[in-house]
Amino acid sequence: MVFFENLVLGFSVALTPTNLFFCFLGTLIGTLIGVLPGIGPLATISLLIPTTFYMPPATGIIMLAGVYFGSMYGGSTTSILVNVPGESASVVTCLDGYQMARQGRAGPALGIAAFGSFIAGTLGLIVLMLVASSLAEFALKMGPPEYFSLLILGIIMTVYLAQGSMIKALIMAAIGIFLGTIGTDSFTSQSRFAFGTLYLRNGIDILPVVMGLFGIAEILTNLEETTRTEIFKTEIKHLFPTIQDWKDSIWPILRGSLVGFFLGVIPGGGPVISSFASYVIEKKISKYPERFGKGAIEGVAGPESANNSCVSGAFIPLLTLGIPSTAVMAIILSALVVHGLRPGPLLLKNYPDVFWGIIASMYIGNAMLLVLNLPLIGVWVQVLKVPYRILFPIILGLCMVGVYSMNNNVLDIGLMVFFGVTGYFLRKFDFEAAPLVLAVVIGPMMEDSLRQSLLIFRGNVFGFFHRPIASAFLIFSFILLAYSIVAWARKKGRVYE
Amino acid sequence: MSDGKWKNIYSGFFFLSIGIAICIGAWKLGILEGHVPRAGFMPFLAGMVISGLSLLLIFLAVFGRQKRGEANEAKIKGDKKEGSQRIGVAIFALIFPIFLIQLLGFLITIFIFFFFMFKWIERQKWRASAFTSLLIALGFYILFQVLLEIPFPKGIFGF
Repeated sequence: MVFFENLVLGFSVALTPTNLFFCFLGTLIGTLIGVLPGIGPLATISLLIPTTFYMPPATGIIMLAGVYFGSMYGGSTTSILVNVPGESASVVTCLDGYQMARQGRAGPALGIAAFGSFIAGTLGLIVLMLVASSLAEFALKMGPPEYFSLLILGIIMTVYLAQGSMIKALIMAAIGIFLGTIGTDSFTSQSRFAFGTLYLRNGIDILPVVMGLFGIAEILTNLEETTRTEIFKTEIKHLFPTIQDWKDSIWPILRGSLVGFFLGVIPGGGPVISSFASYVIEKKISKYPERFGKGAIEGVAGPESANNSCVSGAFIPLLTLGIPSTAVMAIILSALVVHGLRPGPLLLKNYPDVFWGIIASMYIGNAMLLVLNLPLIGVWVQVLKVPYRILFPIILGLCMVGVYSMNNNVLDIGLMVFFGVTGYFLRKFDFEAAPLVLAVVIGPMMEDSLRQSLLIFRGNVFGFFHRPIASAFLIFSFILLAYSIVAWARKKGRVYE
Repeated sequence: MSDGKWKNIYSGFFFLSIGIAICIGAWKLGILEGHVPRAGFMPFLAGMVISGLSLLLIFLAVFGRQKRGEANEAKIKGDKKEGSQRIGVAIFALIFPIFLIQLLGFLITIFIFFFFMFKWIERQKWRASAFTSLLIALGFYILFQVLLEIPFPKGIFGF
C-alpha cells in the first residue's frame, strides 16, 4: 500500500507541467548528444548542471536523468546508420546494427533498439522502486566504518571492471582520491596542496575536471584523426519489428535487462560493460552464434536493453546509499549536493517528493523516448549530417560557457583546459579517466569516513573487522583483489599488463 | 622495446614522480598525531599507492613479455603531424580567452575563439570563417548573456 502511495506521490511531482517540460527537454538533449558522436552524456550533464541552479532540485535532476536515458537511446541510431557509436555504450550495437542496415533492415534494427530500451528501462525502474525503500532503511544502520568499507569495495569494483589495465585504473583512482583532498581540510582547517591560492583552497570542482577529461579530451582526440563519417544510404522502413523479430528478440531483451540492471548497481559496471556483457551472453547461448556480426537482431536487442536497464540500476546505490556507481552518477550526485540535498538513506526520508518524483519521471522519460525515437528518426538522420567541423567549435564554446557560468570564474576555464590536455594524454597512454572522476567525488567521502572510523576505533585499523557489515565488504574487496592478482599471474606468461 | 612498453615506462616514471611529490607534500602537512589522522593522512596514502603502482608498471614494462601484435602499433598509427598541429592550435584557442575575456568582453572573445577554430583548424577562407564565427558568437551572446543573463565580463567596450 505504501508502495502505491509513493508511486502516486512520485507521479504527482513528475506530472506537473514544469517537470514534464524539463523531462522532455532532457530526453531530447540526451537523444541529440547520443546521436552525435564526439560528445557523451558525462560532458553534457556536466555542462547542463549550471542551468539547473535556477530550478527546483527535483526538476533539475529529472532533466539530467532524462539526458542520461536519452543518450542511451540516441547512441544506437548512429551505431546502426553510420557504424560509428554515438556514445561508448553503443559500440557493440555497430557490430550487428550496421550489418542489418546494410541488408536493408535499418528500420527493424532501430525499432528493436528503441522497444528493447523501453522495456528494459521500465523493468529496471520497477525493480528500483521495489528495492529502494528497503535498501535505504538498511543504509540507515550503516556508520562511518561500514561506509568506508563500502566505498573501498566500490573503488575496487571500478578498477576490477576497468576496460584496460587494472594497474592503470588503480593509479587513476588514487590520483582522483588525491585531487579530492585538495583544498581546506574539513577536520583541521589546514590548507592542502593549494599552493597559496584562494582558488585551490576551495577545493577542485568536479565539473571542470569532467568537462576537461571527457568533453575537451574527446574533441582533441577527434581533431587528430581526419576520418570522415558517412551515413549509410538506405530507406528506413518497417520500424515496428515483425513477429519473428520479436520472437528472436524478447529473451535477449529480458536477459539484457537483467544483466544491465545488475551491472548498473555494482560500482564500475556502467552501460559500456553491460552492453558488452549482454552481447557476449547472447552469442554464447545462441544456437547460431555464426550469425552474430552479420546482422543478428539479438545482437542489437540485448545490448541496447542492457545499457538502458543499467541506467535504472545505477540510480539505486546513488539514491539509497549516496554512493555513485559510475562517473555519470558521480556528476548527478554533485548536482544533488549543489541543490542542498545529500543523496543517501535520508533523501528518501526527508525529501520523498524529490526521491519518488525522480523515479516517476524516469517512467515518463522512457515513454517519451519511445515516442521521440521512432517517429523522429528522420530528424536524427538529418542531425547526423551536420558536419563535425561546425559542431566541434560549438561544443568547445559550450564547454567554456558552461564551466564559466558555474562560478563566474575564468580560472575554471583554465582548470578545464588543463584537464582536457591531461585527458588527451591519458588516452594516448591508455589510462581510463572514469575511475579518476568517480574517485574525485567519493574520495572526500572516503576520507571523512576513514578518519571518523579511526577516531571511533582509537587508531586501531583492525576495528573494521569487529563490525560484521564492514568486515564483509572489506573481505569481499580483498578476495576480489586477490582473484585479480591470481588471474594476472596466470596470464603473465603472455601479457604483461 | 615496443611502443606500448615505452608508453608504460614513460607514464610510470611520470606518475612515480607525482606520487613522490604528493607523499612529500602530505608528510609536511602531518600524517598522524597519536591515533588521530592529520590533514596529510589521506593524500599520503594516495601518494604511496600511486608511487607503488607506478613502480609496478615500470617493472612489468621492463621485465614483462610483450603483448602480441603490440610491436606493430607504431607503424599502424602513421604520421599524425597535421593532427598534432590542429591540437596545438585548439589548445591555444582555448587558453587565450582566459586572459582576454576580462579585457575584451565575452562577445569579442568568443568571436575570436570561433574565428581561430574555423580559420586555423578547419582552414576555411577568411570571409567564411569571419561570417560563421560572427553568426555563432552572436547566437552565444544572445542566448547566454542576454537571455540567460550569465554575468560575463563586459570588457573595455562595454558588451
